[in-house]
Amino acid sequence: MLDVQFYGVLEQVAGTRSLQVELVDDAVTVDQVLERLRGQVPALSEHLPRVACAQGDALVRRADPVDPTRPLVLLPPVSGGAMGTQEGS
Amino acid sequence: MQRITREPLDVASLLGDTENDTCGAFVVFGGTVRNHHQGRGVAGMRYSAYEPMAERVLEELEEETRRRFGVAECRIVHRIGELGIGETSVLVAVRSAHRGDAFSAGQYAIDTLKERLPVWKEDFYTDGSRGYQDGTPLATAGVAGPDDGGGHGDR
Repeated sequence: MLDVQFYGVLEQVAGTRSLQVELVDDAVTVDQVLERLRGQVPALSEHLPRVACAQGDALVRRADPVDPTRPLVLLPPVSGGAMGTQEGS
Repeated sequence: MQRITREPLDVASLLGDTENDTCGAFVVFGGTVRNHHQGRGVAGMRYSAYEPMAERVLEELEEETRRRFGVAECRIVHRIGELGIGETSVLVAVRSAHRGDAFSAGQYAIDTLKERLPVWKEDFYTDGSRGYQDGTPLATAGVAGPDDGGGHGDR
């Protein structure tokens, strides 16, 4: 089982901070995990195209293999710093 | 040092931490919580972060800013947790020999932070509702972010 963690709006959409995704074999890519997640939590579907993923302190690409020993962290579009650029800072 | 913190941010201590006798200029950018967003009244907000990555992103951005603009000092701190109107959410301090480099470096640092830092902002509106602000997809998102050329996360 792989621990998948949600941040920002994704936590709200998923209704939980994390959940477990079953891995059918060891050679699974990030994309394949997201696809499985889409089946488990359909509400996440519309957000997934704009989601980045990380393991530990680094981003991972969609085609990268997942390290099954570490949580896969889902990061929605970021909004740090001051207020949004549309209204100026 | 900790760059992501739940404690109030302090300009004086940031300037103290970056004192450098080779510099003739410092620039500080501060972001504060505003009482409106897209026409709606805001009573406060909550910042959250994916901290293991956020700390690294800020450390690397400081180093990148120093190198790119040749400035002597760059330090960035970002607050998380619940903040009230007027409270400071982010500080960027740059010190350099001359003012031009300090202004340019400070602007680069805050603009780039907004594209790379895994931090999210949830507004608490004055009507009692709340909502996450939309933002910028990170570099490896399915829809390319502004830094799709590689960025900090590919190592």
